[in-house]
Amino acid sequence: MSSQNQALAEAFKSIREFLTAQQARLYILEKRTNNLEEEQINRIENISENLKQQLIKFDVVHKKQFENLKQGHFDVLEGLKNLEVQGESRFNLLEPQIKNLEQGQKRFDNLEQKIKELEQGQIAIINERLNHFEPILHRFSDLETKLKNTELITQKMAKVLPNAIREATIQQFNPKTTSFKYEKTGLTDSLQEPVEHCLRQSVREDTSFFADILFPVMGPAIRKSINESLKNIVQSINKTAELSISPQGLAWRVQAWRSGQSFSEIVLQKTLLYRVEQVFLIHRETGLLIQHLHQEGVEIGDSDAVSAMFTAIQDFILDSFSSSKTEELNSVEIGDYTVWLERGPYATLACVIRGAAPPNFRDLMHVMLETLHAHYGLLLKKFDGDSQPLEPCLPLLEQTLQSEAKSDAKSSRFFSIPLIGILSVILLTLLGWGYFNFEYQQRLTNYINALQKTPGIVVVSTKYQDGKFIIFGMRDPLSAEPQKITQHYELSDDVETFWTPYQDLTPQFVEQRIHQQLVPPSTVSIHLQDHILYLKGYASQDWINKAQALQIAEVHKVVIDELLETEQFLLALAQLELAPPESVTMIVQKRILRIAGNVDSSTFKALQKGIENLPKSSEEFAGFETSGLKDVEREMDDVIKYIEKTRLYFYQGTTELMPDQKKTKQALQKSAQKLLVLTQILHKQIQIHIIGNADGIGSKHRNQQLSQQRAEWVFNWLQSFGIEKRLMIITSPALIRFNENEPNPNDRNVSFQIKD
Amino acid sequence: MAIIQKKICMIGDFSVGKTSLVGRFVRQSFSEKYLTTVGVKIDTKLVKLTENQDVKLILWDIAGGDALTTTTASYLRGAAGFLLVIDGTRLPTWKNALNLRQAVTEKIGEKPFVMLLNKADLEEKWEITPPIIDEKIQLGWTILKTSAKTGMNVEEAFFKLATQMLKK
Ligand SMILES: Nc1nc2c(ncn2[C@@H]2O[C@H](COP(=O)(O)OP(=O)(O)OP(=O)(O)O)[C@@H](O)[C@H]2O)c(=O)[nH]1
Ligand SMILES: [Mg+2]
Repeated sequence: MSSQNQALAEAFKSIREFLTAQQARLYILEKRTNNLEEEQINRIENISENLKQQLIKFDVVHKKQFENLKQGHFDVLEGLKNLEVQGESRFNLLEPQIKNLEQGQKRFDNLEQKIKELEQGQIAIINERLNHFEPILHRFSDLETKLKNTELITQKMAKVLPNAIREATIQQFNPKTTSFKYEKTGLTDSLQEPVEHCLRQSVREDTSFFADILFPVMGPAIRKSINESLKNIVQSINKTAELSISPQGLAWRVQAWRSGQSFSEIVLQKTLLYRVEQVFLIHRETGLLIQHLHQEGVEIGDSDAVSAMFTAIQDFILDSFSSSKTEELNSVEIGDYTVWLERGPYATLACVIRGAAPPNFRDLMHVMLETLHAHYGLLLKKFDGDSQPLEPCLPLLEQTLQSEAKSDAKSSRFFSIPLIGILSVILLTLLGWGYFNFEYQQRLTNYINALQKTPGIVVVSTKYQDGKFIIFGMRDPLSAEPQKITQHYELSDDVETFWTPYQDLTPQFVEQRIHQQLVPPSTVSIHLQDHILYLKGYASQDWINKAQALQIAEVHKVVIDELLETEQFLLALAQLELAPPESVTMIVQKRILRIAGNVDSSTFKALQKGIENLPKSSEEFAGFETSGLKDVEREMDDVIKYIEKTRLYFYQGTTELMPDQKKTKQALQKSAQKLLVLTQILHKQIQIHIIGNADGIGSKHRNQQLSQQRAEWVFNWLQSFGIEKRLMIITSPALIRFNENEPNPNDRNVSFQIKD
Repeated sequence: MAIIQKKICMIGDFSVGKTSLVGRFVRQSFSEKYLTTVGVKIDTKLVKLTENQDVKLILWDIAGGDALTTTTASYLRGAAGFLLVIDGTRLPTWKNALNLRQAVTEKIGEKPFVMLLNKADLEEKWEITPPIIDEKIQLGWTILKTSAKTGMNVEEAFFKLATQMLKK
């Protein structure tokens, strides 16, 4: 039976399969139709006709197939009946197998039973474990509640802490404890370290983050401090007076009274679009104020501090907010004012503007700053706090103090079309000219520095005009030639200089001027101290007179205590150098030293040597006249020698001189007289020994007598012209000759010997 | 007679008294209250050095710290000199001041400076002792004991610095 069923089931299965297949195809067709419908709506009509026919055909086929199937069903039923018969015999075969299966089932049940038993045991263990867990769970929930308590405490703490801190702070400010800062008020003390630490850490880690936080503080703080300085600004406009009597003026007065604003403020609002009230030219590096201008009547605060503040704000902005360094602070709003900033390489221009300035005012600022750099770049660069050299900037800066009136005052419009044209031409020229030509700038800087360093040259202002760098300055005619400096820096073609002569009053120049006026001889030294001119040395009387009459700036007095007339000086010098004895006289005439007097040999030599050493030049001694100086000692020696050599010769047997002895006699007389004078000069005692002689003719006695008589004759003769007796002595000859045959006229004489 | 302007910076650790010293010098005032400086605070004062030499000091009171930050460093630009302030009652501020001086020199080059040992009115609580001070005096440093509270040596400090700056 069951085999029949199986066959039937299989047959149904195949039918179902067939039907499903058909259905699938139908489905596909339907889909296609849909597609067609969508894509080709126009053709659908035609196709659908076709389709219908096809469907009808299909239907027919289907029916036919169904008929076939029915037929097939019958066949299958036939087959099934056959199969049933066969199946019964097979079932008989299956029975023992089923019994086997039943036994298997039993064994399975047994196994199941055993597993259940085992399971029972496990559960006991698990229960036991769970029991164990229970107290732990209790402790856990305990902990949980405790935890909740901590939270509670924290919450309480949060409420208490602020009070505690406040308390501590109040304690700190207890006026009884004077050095409160160092008191150990626990809380503050313990907080200080960590808070400081945190702050530093956070600053170090992320500066810009910190800056972001600080900016809202910094900004207003900075603004406030600038505001403080600017708030004193009071308005006074020329227009005020004339408007006050006009009907409009009256209307504004009413408005001012009603709004509580000042009248001038209303006037400003009504008449002005904008007004540049102050302009700051700020040195970029130091933040120092180079020049400052303000509208008439605008009161200003500490502009130096404001200038520095502007710089500080810029530094702050630059370091905190921009990494690229390109975006810089261009404007700051401060109360009613807007500050526009424009930066150049060396200077920043800041304009404090009331109202709304037109955007092209910034162009003006830009051009202005570039012009300032072109003209005064060097001075701006080396600015070190002295703004005087940069005063020539003022006329240029003044141009920025602009204002634009509303409608009615068109004439005062600053930005006329031609002006904009001119400004752009200037700008282009500057750029074309190569304003950033650094080498050239450097050379100019060095050149100006060199000029400034040159004594007697003062650079007052510089400007750039018609392609030339023009320098105005003052120059002492005695200073170094500025052209040479210009040439040295190879700037002769680029630079034009205008020098106003002036007298540099530094000592260096005053001294130079003294030299120029007095032309002092080399023998005069000049020393200037505290406006007193000290002259030392010697010079001609004429020159001394000229020096005494000197009139020169910065010289209040001329001191000539140590200045001598030349000949006085030379005489004093000779006295000093020669130190002659009293017997010597000296005079200096026409710079010639005339020296005269009688001296002994050693003095004579010393003087001679001293004179040789005296300076001889066109300013000192011209020459020496020494003929009046006599070495009397040597002269006496000469005279003595002469006298001792001299002999007077006599006729035979007489005391009569030979006729040829006249000259000898005369010479002897002179010599004797001279000797007498010399002994007096030299304070010497001498004795003239007169020795008479005779030849050998005659007796000894006669010859002795003759010698004596001859000597006596000479004695008398000498006495006759003034030789004192006491200076003479007759000495007998060493030898008396006698009884000789040959006469010897040479022996008939008188000779002399002079002894001390 | 021309007035010359010079920029001066106040350098030193937190709370050493930089702001107080400037306050004493410029406004002759002092407060026990500590308000830390944020960023920088600027004041000016005209000083008569000699009969014919006036100097306008532009005082940059820079926020204190144990090291230079980029912002404080940029405030140093163009300074002609600086005051190096130390709190005598806190030894670490001495060491930090030496480091700061080093950093300042690296930033703007050798500039005249005067070292101020501040809070001299609390000398009994001082932690800075003569030996370490003498060591620096040997190097030729100008060191003054000051008190913003009593005004001791405050004028002298600025005066000395101004004189040194103009000598240069
Ligand atoms: N006793 C005494 N206290 C001083 C003196 N100078 C400053 N102080 C106090 O020290 C504290 C800090 O002073 P500040 O001047 O604000 O310090 P600072 O150096 O400017 O600090 P920062 O701006 O944070 O860098 C304040 O409470 C002052 O009152 C002083 O000479 N004597
Ligand atoms: Mg401070």
